[in-house]
Amino acid sequence: MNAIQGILQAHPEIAFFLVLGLGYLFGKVSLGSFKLGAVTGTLLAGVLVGQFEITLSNDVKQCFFLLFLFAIGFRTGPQFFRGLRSDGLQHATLAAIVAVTGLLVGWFVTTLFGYDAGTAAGLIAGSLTESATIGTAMDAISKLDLAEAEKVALNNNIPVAFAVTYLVGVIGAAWVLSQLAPKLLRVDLAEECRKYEEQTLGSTSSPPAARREFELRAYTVTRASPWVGRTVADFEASGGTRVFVERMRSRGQIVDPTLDYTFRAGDTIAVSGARTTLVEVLESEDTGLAEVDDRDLLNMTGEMIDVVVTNRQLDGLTLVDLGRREAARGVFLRRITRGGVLLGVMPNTVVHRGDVLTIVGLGASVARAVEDIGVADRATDVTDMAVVATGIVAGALIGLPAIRLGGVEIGLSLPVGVLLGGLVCGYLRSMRPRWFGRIPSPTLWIFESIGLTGFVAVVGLNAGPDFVRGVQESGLTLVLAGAITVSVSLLLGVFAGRWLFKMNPGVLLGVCAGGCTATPALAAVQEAARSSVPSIGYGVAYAVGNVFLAIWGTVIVLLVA
Amino acid sequence: MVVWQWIVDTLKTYPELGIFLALAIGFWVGPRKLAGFSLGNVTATLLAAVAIGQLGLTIAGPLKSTFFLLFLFAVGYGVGPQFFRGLGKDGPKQIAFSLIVLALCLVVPYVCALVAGLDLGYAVGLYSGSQTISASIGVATDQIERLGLPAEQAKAYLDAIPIGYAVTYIFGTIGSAIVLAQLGPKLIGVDLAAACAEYEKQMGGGPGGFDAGVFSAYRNVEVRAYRIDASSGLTGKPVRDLFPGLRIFVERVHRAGQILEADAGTTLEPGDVIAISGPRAALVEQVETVVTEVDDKPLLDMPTTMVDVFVRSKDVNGRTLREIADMPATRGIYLRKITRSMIEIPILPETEILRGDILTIAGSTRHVDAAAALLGHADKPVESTDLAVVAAGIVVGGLVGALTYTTGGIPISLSTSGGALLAGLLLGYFRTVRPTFGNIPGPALWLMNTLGLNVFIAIVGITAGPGFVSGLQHVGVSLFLWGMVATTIPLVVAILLGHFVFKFHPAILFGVCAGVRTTTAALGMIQEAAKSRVPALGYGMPYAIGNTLLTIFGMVIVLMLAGGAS
Repeated sequence: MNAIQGILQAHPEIAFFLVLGLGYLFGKVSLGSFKLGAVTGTLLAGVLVGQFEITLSNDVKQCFFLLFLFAIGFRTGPQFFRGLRSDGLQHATLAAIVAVTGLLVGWFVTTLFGYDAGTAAGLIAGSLTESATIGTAMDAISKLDLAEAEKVALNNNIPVAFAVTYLVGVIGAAWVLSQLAPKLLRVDLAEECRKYEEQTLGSTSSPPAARREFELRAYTVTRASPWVGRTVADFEASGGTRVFVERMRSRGQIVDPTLDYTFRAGDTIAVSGARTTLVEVLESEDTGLAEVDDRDLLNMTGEMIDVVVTNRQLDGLTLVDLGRREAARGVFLRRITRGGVLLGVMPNTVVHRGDVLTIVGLGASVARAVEDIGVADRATDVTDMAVVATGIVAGALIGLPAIRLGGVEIGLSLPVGVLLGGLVCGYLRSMRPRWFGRIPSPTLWIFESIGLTGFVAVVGLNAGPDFVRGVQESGLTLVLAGAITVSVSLLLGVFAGRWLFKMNPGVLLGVCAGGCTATPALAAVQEAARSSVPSIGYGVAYAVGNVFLAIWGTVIVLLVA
Repeated sequence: MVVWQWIVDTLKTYPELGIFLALAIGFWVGPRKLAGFSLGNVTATLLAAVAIGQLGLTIAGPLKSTFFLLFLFAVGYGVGPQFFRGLGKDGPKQIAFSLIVLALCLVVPYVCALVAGLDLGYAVGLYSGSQTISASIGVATDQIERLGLPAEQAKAYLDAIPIGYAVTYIFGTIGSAIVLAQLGPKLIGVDLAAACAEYEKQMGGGPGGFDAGVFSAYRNVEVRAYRIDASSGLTGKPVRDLFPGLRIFVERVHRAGQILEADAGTTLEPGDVIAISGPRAALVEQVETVVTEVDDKPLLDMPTTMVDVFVRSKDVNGRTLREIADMPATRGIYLRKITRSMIEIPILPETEILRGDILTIAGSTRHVDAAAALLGHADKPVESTDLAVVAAGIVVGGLVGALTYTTGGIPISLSTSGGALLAGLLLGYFRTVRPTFGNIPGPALWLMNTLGLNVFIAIVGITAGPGFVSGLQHVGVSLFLWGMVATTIPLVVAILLGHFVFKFHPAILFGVCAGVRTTTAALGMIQEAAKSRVPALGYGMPYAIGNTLLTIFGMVIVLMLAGGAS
């Protein structure tokens, strides 16, 4: 045991990964129908491993935390800005309700158990997981009209109460919001979030369907066909819809036909077009085309790709005009997206620069079309780290400046700044995919997951020893007091949001997590919802909650003293 | 000025922002091309970090190690399969060649360092820069810290590493590319483009594989919709008896506005539209002689999927494909690929399936799920990373690596970073033969790789920042020249050796050389010069060996130099 402790103390980074590994393991454990979840699991693992007296610097915590905040912002940016105007005030109000309830319940519990001002401040700071409260409370205590020794005693009580209730606050908030609240509201969280995604974003990604909108099929031109003796150009222009002869087999040889080639009986042609056209027009009796299976002829590579329109000549053209361009031959439009919103593919839909066209066709045709349209956005494994890092730094620099008002610093704060950085980058990415880099979703997943569990692991490691010491000093009533404070205020917020504001449950839980600045709870909710919708409610609520909770330090000291 | 002061104070209070700032600049400057060459993300991040380091930020140690471990684990995980496959049976020639070249890559910088009289720190920098293996910096750092030197001395060495690295890295990259792509072919008197064209012809086409978003326009298995009328003769009997001898399946039925899922016993009625899945040839040539194809979007819009299934079922073990195809649970699924011990085996009716095989099956989601449940464990492509396995791997590797064996006063151990690399290699390999756990999707692996290394490098740069400028003035030009020597000699020898002794095909040779030295930039240049992707064929396995050994050599060179000094 000592040898392991020695290694872990010499290499705290291994202790860090040990906490993560144990945490994900604990996270899979179910207690009845409740699941612990990776976040709570990691926190507990951290407390456990923390008993080895391992210290890990705060830089580690911060790095992971910032990555997490940026990632959740990036993912929800588009929906956030769309919803902000209509729902922003609602989120702020609900966050205020949660924060005010937190103060009142904390005060009530304090009177109930007869705590002094220092313990009361620690209780509120800890159970609502806002360390800024400690600062304002100490400030307020120093201004009280008391003897110096009493002030010192009060001040010393703050961190003890904080250490104990902080863990209760983190775990309690995560558990109440992710497990208890959906059960009380009787909603299927994952389902509600999926619905919300569908409402705001059109449809979400679905598995590939068996039906392909556009197909490539091979036909033999029979002797009786009216196409014998007519040209490829006639054939392609005949139906009114777009079909193309991609290549053909003539006398056993595979050749690329020119537009003025005249069909002979016995030629086999590979035709691309909409499935409906192929099945219902080309395969009707009177065309004299018989479908055949010609593997070699059809074995060409196809490609589906997103292209951002940058060519000035295309700006303002309708899809019909676009389809007539030389470069559009053999290419079909699947989707058109503007500012992250799907547009209908209609003949007279007008294309603008910055639109994203999803096109499909054979490799060479797609390449030609991409050159004409603009810039291809190919799916790769690569993350645009420049955008990630710049977003974090810029966000932080915006978030940090604060105004001091009566002893309370009011500003966006670092976390909200970085979250905002992520939101803006995510939003810009959906609007201007050419300039704003790609973050593949497995990467976002890892940012979100390891970002938060990494943060929580350090919190647990560092808080572990203090927690045990604190409980020994002050007893279990403080644990109870913390649990009451955090759960009552959150549950009130949940019910108010559901019945008063009629919010979507996913967003609602995000707002509640924000109202008591409990980021781990947000991650737990997202884990339970298997969706990032909850973080839509988080941003505004966090900013509001942050300010209120910081002020509570002053208020509770004055109330109790 | 006030703003500037505020920014400096902010960075000092939140040093993690300094790291992200270095990354932001590094990743922005890194890819920019100057006269055909780019600095690369790592070097650009290092330089940016050195600049930021001038402000005097302090960053605690564990952060650096944390990201470095993550990086090494990812490296190991990525190359694991090729590493062990190479060790197994393929290409012992490539392995032997790689080992010889790698020995040169270690010895030549070592000799250069001795001749030039460089101290330990610069020597390590010279090695990692001239061989462009930034990962070795971390391993060397670990080893230096364990030498038991006075703290001040160790710090001086550690701060010298990035200087040596930055000075020699530039030629390490550009020089390797020039030597391999331009000089090399002339040296052995071959026309690279012609050699590649000939090789392609020999092998019958270039390397296969599709990028994301690219697919073959020919679909072997299709789903089509058909209208059933009374004259078709298909009504009134169970669908399993409709087309005896053909492995095609009625998937769904569109009847009176409702879509029903069909099973083997379903009977059809006149007026139904049915979706049939099956090989394209069977549909086009047999089914369509009986019924008329129609387009029916809602009917055909059924979710399909393709998964790798790891066979665990005892019921299937030892059965032939013909037998398995008759089982009710395999209704509606199509076999695409069989992989046994990482090698693809042909799909024939009499092929026996064994436990441990990986079957790639496709079909409608409903059927694939049913079949996967029968066969074993489906390895669905998911976005999430199995972080429990990642963390566990790093912990176990790290603990094993932390065990130290002291010989002749020099403590030798795998080091925690070496342990993480090894754990990654093993897990990456196990993942390919036993894909039941430890999923890391490509983009996540890329991220752990890139972010892990660059955060590490950024911290190295920020920490070394204050002494960097004076160090550079002290050793600059001569170190650069020694770096050229250390980069060029192993490569030139490698080309000659590979051509005259090992007799590699010239098309492959340069890929192998680039692989051993893990220099992707050079591979790009070679492919450009060859106008072909063939050289990449030689890149894989030597890369896996090179990446592993060159990293560990970071420790070896420290031991060699420290041993020589004492």
